[in-house]
Parts: sequence; structure tokens; C-alpha cells
Amino acid sequence: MSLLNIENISAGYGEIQVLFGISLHVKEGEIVSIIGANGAGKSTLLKTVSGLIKPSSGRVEFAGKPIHELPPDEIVEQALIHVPEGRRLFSQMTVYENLEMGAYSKHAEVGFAKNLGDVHALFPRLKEREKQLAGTLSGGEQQMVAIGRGIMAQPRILMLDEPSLGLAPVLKKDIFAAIKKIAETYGTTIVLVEQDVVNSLAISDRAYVMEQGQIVMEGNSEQLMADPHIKTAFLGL
Amino acid sequence: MLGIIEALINGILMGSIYGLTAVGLTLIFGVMKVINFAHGSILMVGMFAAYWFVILTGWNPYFAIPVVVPLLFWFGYYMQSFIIKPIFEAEKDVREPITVIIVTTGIWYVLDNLALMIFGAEFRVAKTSVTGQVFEFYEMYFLLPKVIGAGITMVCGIYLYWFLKHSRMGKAIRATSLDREAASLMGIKQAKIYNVAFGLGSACCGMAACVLIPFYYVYPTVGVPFDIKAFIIVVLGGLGSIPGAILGGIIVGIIENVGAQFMAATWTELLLYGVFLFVLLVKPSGLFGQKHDY
Amino acid sequence: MKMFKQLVVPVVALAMLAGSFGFAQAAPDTVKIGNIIPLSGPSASVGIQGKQAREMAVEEINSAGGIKSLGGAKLELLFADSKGDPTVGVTEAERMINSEKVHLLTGCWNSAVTYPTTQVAERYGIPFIVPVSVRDTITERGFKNVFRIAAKDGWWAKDQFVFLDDMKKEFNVDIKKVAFVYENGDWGVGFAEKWVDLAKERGYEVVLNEPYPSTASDLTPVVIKLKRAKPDVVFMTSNAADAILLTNTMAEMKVNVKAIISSGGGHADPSFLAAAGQNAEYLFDIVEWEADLNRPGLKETNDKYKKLYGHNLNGESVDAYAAMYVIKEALEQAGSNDPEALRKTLSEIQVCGGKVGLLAYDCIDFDESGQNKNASLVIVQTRTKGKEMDRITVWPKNVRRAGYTPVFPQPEK
Repeated sequence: MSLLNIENISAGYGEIQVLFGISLHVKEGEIVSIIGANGAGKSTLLKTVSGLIKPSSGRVEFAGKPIHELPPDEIVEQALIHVPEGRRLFSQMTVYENLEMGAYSKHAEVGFAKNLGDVHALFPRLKEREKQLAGTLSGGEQQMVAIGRGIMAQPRILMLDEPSLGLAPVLKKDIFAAIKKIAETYGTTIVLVEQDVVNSLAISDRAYVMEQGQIVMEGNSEQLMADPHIKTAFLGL
Repeated sequence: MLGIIEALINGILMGSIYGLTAVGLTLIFGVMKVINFAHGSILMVGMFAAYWFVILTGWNPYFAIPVVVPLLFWFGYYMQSFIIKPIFEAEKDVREPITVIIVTTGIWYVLDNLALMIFGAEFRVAKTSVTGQVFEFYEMYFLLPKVIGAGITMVCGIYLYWFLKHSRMGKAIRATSLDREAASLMGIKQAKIYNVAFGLGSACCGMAACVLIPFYYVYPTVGVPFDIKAFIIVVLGGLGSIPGAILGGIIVGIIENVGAQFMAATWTELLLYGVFLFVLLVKPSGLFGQKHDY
Repeated sequence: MKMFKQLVVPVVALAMLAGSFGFAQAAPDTVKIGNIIPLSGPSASVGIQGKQAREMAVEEINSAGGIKSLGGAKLELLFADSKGDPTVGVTEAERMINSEKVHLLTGCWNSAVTYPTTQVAERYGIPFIVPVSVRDTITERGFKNVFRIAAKDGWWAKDQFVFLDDMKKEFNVDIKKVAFVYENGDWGVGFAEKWVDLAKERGYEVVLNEPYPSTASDLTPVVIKLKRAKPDVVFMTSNAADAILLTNTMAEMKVNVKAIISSGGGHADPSFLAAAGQNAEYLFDIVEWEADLNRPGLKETNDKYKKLYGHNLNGESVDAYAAMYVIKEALEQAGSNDPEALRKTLSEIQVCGGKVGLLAYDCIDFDESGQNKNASLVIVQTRTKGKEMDRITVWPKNVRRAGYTPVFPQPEK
């Protein structure tokens, strides 16, 4: 029985359809990657799950309950947390205030102090820069804040949209390591949308491949890493 | 020389009150990215409410504050909730919500004309216990209601600043004005934030109304001259900045008053627009504005 | 003989048939009068009073049988709100003439609106009666269709200064410095231009010449300037809203002068007196009419108006009222509602007594420029009477209210 069940979802922006009948599932405790090139519709998929976009057809079920008609704030309340693409920090607010905003929802209030401690343990630099305006941080630090915000929301599922985008290789490694650590330490289910195939497959259990709004391949990570199509399309081999 | 000092102080006093009327406008714009053309009419509603409160009870006009301010808060809250929100939702993906602007303009016309029909076109002045009282200082005279009004503006400004910086709702409002999608993903309910922001903006009008009634007259289109000034102040001070609105108001008040000592009052309006254009050329986002990409 | 009968009868029958069309057209029509006045904005309260006065006059005329020479035709009033805006006035005039097909127009209170709006009437050849609107140039353009009842502003300004001369003499007071504070529209500027010349003639020093926008939200800067200038006498021309603001602020800031002379308009508006109250004490205002004038039929008419609408008649409403009666007379004499015939009649007519006797003079008689040559003015002083403010006629001395001595100079605050 899956924690997250996406059945035949079609969605888009106004007249433009981006997703064409996507179906996938995520079991509790898994790390699942969704990989694909730019424009495949990965971000649109996450936005549909988190409620920013209403699907034109299909169902999304979380812990057995349908959520595809709920507004974003109610989905957050169920501990399905979306860390959006491009970090989207509140640039004129401090690091601390951004993390505070992560814990805005009622269910996250209880564990505020503990979660804050966890974030600081994971990303010590954020404690140093607590009072700094988020907009003045480096790219890597901003990504840490974005993920930290996600943790503050006490997630049952954490969906991350291209967390390594635009970061130097060293930083990328740190980010992926942090994500793996979150899954291991807290048992959080992770959905990882990425263009960096190697690194994301390395930390995930399973993966789906998206192309032009459809799932074209799925399987466990080892299998996919060895697949020739993947190798040519994404690894340039 | 004394004349100039008197004019300067009067400018600061009246200017802070202008600033108070502009605070609501800047708040609404900062959060919702909507220019509320009904702002002046909301001020007018507040002024009529304060006027009738004073006339019917005969009490000190500042006692109207606990009545008029919450009244206007709910007026704005429900106006947003029932009239503006549906239009807003329909234009959710549109970057510039033009229809919302048109709707607020419609509300402006409806409110003003309703007031004209119900109350008639005459100018009404409420005689209150502070009306006409003057505060003398070295041969310079300052109207007591204006001094009190300026004081109230400062208190409101400080309170709002504190509220936005430190309260949970205040931070949620700030977050929404910075990035509304990201704010939704934090679990912040957009509709509620907009309602509260609109309510707060209207409550500021209510406060300004109570401050104005002791020395100003009320009539159905009284909102118009204040609205025009409020727009100038908001752009001057920076869209979305509350300190900017108050400071912008004070600057406008000073230009009006001190400028008038050197040229005919007719020309001070021109001077005001001149300064406004100059600031826009040099710093388009206004004095305290942020460089936003809306 | 037979042929004569055969010829004459059909001819006579034809003539009677043709003639019957003429009779059918003489059946009661309505005469449409378009009125373009401010029903909203700073001059709204005066505009509305003018509307009420016109309605009262027309109701009286219609219930007395309408226009007899037109077979009992009734007068019909159409109103348009000028909003105090000249462009709106012009558009409304076009609409009234072209769509509503009015036979006559009246309006517009604000000189700035009357000036271009009468131009529209002149272009279409529709007679336009101006009850007040004092800007000289309204009747100085060689127009044939514009008729003004009230005095021109040149006469108003001159009388204000002559009044001051008389007060100086009567109370033995010296006046050296004068200040001019006026709304910056057509009306106020017109007065100010005359004041400057008149002051120069008499050797007064003009310590302040201050135009201001009528819609200003704060007139404190003007009052501060006025106070610093220390004039002996202040001349003012204001609309009701700004009159209220200025008078109250001047009292609050304790501006002490020997006299304030205002120019009607806002200062004559009942809402000004209600709002300014005691702050308006001792103010001198020039108007062309006041409710305490000793004129036949005035009291009855004023009482009727007061009963219907809740306040006294004033300059604008009285002139608007008289304008309706002038129109009635012109229609009766012309026996037609054709604009050219009306125009001709208006230029020649002399309307005396009756309802016109309400005015401060006996007859309305328009000269070649369309100006009523008999128009005259009075000066009143405002004094507290119980809970209200009273306006007491003080000048010319021969119409001064019996038993009253003007207070000049006014006491210090």
C-alpha cells in the first residue's frame, strides 16, 4: 500500500497541457527519483501534487485519502511538503524567519524546537547566518535554507524539485548527502525530481523517467543506471 | 523665519496624517499587488461613520476609534472576501490582475454615489470637544486635532511595523507579499492573508477618518483628493513600505506647507508633482521601495 | 354661379383643412428648458438650491395654466450635473440641444463652466439665461443668445471697494494694507484682476495676492501666509468647501484683521454658515440679494421655499427663480417656442414686478450685450442670532436693516 498514489493525472497551465495521464506511486520510507530533461513536466507534476495546480483529470491519493481537490495549505497540513524549484526563499526575511515560516502550519508547531535543532545539526552554517537576510546568501546556502524550511514543516513526504540545480559539484554532493541523511535519520519519504541522474539514482531506491509529460520508464535505481537508453539520453555515453 | 518654522511643523503634522491615509493603500498593494482604487471611498465610509458616531453620541471623537476601526476592518475584510476574491481567483495565473483594478474602480463609483444618494452632497462638519482648539507655542499656532492626529499616526506606524515584523500573521503577510506561491507551500492560506491585508488597510482608513473628523468636513466625494495624494505618497515612499508611506506623507505635507510660503498655493500642487516625478526618475522604486520584479 | 360654388367651396374646404393642421400644432406642447448646474462637487449645495428654486417656479407657472399664448403649454425642466467641470458642461449642452431638443438653456453657476457652455448655445442659436455666473466676459463676446440676470463681476468688485470707502468714512478708520485670497478658477481670478486695479486706484498696499485650488485638502499654508502678511482688510472669493476650511482655520489661528469682505458664492451658501458658525462672525459678504430685503412678496415666497426645502432663498436661487418667470414672460410675448423668436423677445423684453419684484431692484432688462442693466448688489454682515448665524443687510445705507449698526472694524480675537 503506497503512501502517495498518483493515478492518470493530466494537468497544464490554461490552454497548454503539460501532463498526459501520469501514474506513479511512492511507498512509505522510500526515496524515489523522477528524472527527465528540461520541459518534461517534472515540476508541473510536483505542483499538481502539492495543490498549486488543479489537475484536469485523474486522482492523487495521500495515505489513502484523495488530495487532488484540496488547496495547498490543507495539503501542507497533512505533512506533504513541496520544496519548490529555484529555492523561492523569502529574500527580505532572515534565515531564521524563513525557517519559522517553514513551521507555519499547525502540525509543525509542536516539534518546532526539535526540528530547528535538527536543521542546525544538518546545516551548521545556517545557525551562524541566522540573522542574515536570505537574499544575501550564496547559492548553496540558499538551498540549505530551502531544504531546512522543508524539514521545519515536519514532513511525512518531502518532495524536492531540482535541489542541486546551479550548484558547484562539491556543493551538489553535500546536498545529496543531506537528503540521504534526512531519509535515514527520520524515515521521511522522499520524492526527488532531478536532472542530475547519476547523483539522484545513487541515493534513491527507485526511479521514474519522464519525457514530454509522460512516464516512459520505471524501475529500481541499479537497473536504470545500467540501462542503455538512460546511458545515452542522460549520461552522454 | 518664524513663518517658515510654523509652516514646517504644520507640514509635518498634516503630512503624517496624509501618511496614515496612505499606509492602508501601500499595505494592500504590497501584499496583493493590487492598486485599490476604492481606497478613497473606504476613507469616506470611515469618515461618515466617525461623523455619525460623534453626532449621535456627542462624545470625544477619539472614542470613535474603537468603533470605527474594527468596523472598517470587517468592511474591508468582507469586501475582499465577497467581491474582490472571486475576480482575483479567476485571474490567478495572470501576472497583472487588471480586472481586479477595474472592480475596485467600480466599487469606488458605487460607494461614492450611494453616499451621495443617502447623505446628500452637502459638507458636514462635526463640532467635537477638540475642534478648533489651538496649541500655542512662541506665537505659532498648531491645531490640537492635528497634533493628536500626528501622534496617533506615529503610534499606528510603530504598531504596524511591530505587527509585521514579529507577529505570526504579520510574518505570513510579509512572506505572501514576497512570494505568494512559496508562502502557500508553507501552509499559509492565501485567501485569508488577502482578507486580513485588505481588512488592515481599511482599518487604517478608519483610523485616519477618526483623526480627520475633528477638523475636516465630510461629503460623499471627500475620498478623492485624499486618494490622489495617497497614490503619490505610496509611489514616493515605495510600494509596500509602511515607513515609506508615513515618510512620504510627511514630505508631501512639508512641500505643501513650506512651498506655499514662497509661492501661491496653486503652484504648490505643481511643485508636488514635480518632486514626485523627480524621485521616480532617480529612484523608480521609491524611497524605501525594493527592487521587485512583479 | 354654379361654377363659383363649385370653385369656392372646395377652395374654402381645402383652406380649412390646411388650417386645421395649424390648429393641431397649436395644441399644448411642452416647452423644454435644459438646466446645467453643479449637483455634485464643491458647489453642489448651491447647485441643488438653484434646482429647487427652478422647480418651485415651474410648478407655480404650470399650475397657473402654463403658457397661455401657447395654448396652456407646460414648462418642462431637464437637469444635468455639470460637476463643476467645464468639459462636462459643454458635453451636456450638446446633448441637451441635440438629443433632448431643449428650447432654452439655463446655468451653470460656476463661471468657468458657464463660459464655454454658453458658447455651445450661441453656436446652435439656443437662448441661454445665466442667473448668476459673474465673470464679465460671459456677456462681452458679442453673443446674441446669452442673457445674464446678475451683475457682472466688475460691478461686484467695484461695489466691494466702494463699500469699504463708505465704511472708512462712517467709522473713521484708516485702511492701508489689503490681502486677496481667492479660488484659482475663472471666478476668483476674475475678481482678483479687478481688485488689483481698484486697490491701485485707491493707493492700498497689496500685501498678499494668493490664489489657491478650491479642492485643496489643507488650506493651513494659505492662512499662515495670510497671518504673516498682517493685512488690514482681506478680500475673499471662495466656494463653500474652501470657505469653511479657510474661515475655521483663520479663527483657529487667530488671524486678526479689521474686516473680511467676501464675494458671495461659497460664503453665501447656507452650508457654509452651518459649518463655520461663530467663526464667521462679523464677515461682510456681497450678494445680489438677501432674505431680509424690504421687497414686495419676498417674505411669502421665501417662507414657501423655506417650508419646502428647509433653508432660505439666496442669490442663486432667487435669480434662478426669476429666470423661470422671465422665460415665462418671453414665451407669452413671443407666442412661440422657436429659439430665434424667443431670442428676439428676450433681447427686447422688460419684466417688472410680480415675481421678479423679489429681487433687490424692480425690473429685468437686458442690454445689447445680454447683460441685465438693472442688476445691483448689497452687502451683508454675518452676526450670531441665538443658535444660528444671521446675515444682515448693511449697504447701501438706504437698504440697511432698520436698527442695526455694522461692526467695523471687527474686534480682536
